[in-house]
Order: sequence, then structure tokens, then C-alpha cells
Amino acid sequence: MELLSPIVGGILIGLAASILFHFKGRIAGISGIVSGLIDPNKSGDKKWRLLFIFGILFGALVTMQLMPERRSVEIDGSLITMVLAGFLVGIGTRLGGGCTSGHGVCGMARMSTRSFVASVIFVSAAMLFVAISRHLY
Amino acid sequence: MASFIAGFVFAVGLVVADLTNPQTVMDFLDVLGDWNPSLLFVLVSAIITTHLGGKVIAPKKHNIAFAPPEHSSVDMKLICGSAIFGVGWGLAGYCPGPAVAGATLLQTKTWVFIVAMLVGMALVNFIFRCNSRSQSD
Repeated sequence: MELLSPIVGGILIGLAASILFHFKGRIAGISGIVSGLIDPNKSGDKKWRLLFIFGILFGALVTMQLMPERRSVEIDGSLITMVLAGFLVGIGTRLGGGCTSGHGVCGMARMSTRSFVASVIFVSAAMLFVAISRHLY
Repeated sequence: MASFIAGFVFAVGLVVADLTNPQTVMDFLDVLGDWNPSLLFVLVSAIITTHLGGKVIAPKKHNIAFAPPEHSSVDMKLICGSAIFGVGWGLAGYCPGPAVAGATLLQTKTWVFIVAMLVGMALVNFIFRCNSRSQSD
């Protein structure tokens, strides 16, 4: 396994979270940022969310141009699997108040007990599910 | 502008770390298979960078209101939500950030995942709104 790209990638993700926290006072939780866009209660709060999402799209486009090998992505799951997976991720991240970035990176960096508990649970649940679906069935 | 740059850097990190490839994520979640620990390195370096970033740059001195997550204790919502999110994550190998960044590859399955995720989020937001309305009556 190559170590450089995961470590550099992680540092960049942390840098991005620090930039958002520093200039906007916001936590870089993608599920929260995305769901705020479709929440009518947060109508006065959409501009920075949109800019952040545009930044993600543009950043991904540019980086994939520079690293063409990252463009070959093979998704195993069927369309129905993707519907179910997306639905569960949407419900779960809203109920739990965060995903891998909000709880896993930012929350753990702030040493939040809630985020620590959430991260242990979602990583364990995902590993358990993969173990069952790939090896026991 | 800061939000756009933060999103941009975030996506560069995701692509460099190869998290936009669900296969890499699944190989991390598959502990009984040919385990690929690279995501662990991404998480740890992101957490350390964010932690240091939060220490070096305190938003207080810029007079920006820090918006901390609203809840403060571990409750059933956090536990169940995180478990549901974990199963969805293990089902497809996508969490919200990589799915949004991966959308730039224009694969139908990624877009289906994102739409289903938005539906799940909207559903929970809707139920929460109904609840808070009935409580205030």
C-alpha cells in the first residue's frame, strides 16, 4: 500500500476544514452542508453552502484532470443498491447529525464525545455490514 | 470565496486520497478480506491537521460566530442515526463528500445515490419540522 497519497489527502481535507472554520466559523460536515441547502428553515444561510459545494465539484474536476487514473471508477452496486444506500445515508446522517467529515474528522478533531461515539458506531456498522454481505452470504 | 476555496481544497484531498472511488472505501471496510488500511491514514492525518488548524487559528479573534452543533449529549438519535448511516455506507462505499465529488464523473449510479440521499435528508428534516410544530402547539 502506498502511504503518501492517503496522508497528503488527509492533510488537505484537514486544511479545508480549518479554512471553513477560520473564515466562516463553520464545521465542514458535508451531510449538514448539503441538507441545509434543501431545508426551508435555513433560507438565509444558503450562499456559503452553495459556494462550498461548487468548490467541491470544481476541485474534483481539476484534480481528476491532473490525475487521470482517478477517473476510472467502477461502482459494484446495482441501481437499486444505490437507491437504498443513498436513502439510508441521507436518513442516518440527519438523525445522527453528521457523517464521516462532520463527526469523523471535525468532531474527532474537536474531541467531541458525541462525534467519537458516532464515528465508532458508523465505522463498526459499515464493517459489520460488509463482513456479512461479502463473507457470510 | 473562503467557502469555495475550502470546498475546492476538500475535493482535492478526497481525490488525492482516492476516496472518490467506492472500491477503495469498500476495501477499507472489508476487514475479513484483503484489508486496505489507507482510509485510516486519511482520517488520522485529517483529524490531526484539523485539530492543529483549530488551535492555530481561533475564529474568536475575527469576531465570527462559531456555529457549534446544537446537541451536546449522546442520545438514541445519534446512535441509531449513525448505525443507519454505517449500513448505507457499507452498502455502496459512498459517504456524502465523496459522492458529491464523484458526481463530476457523471456516472448514473452516483447521481442516483445523491438523489436518494437528498430524499432521505428531506424526509428526516420534514419529520423534525412536524415534531417541533406539534410540540409548540
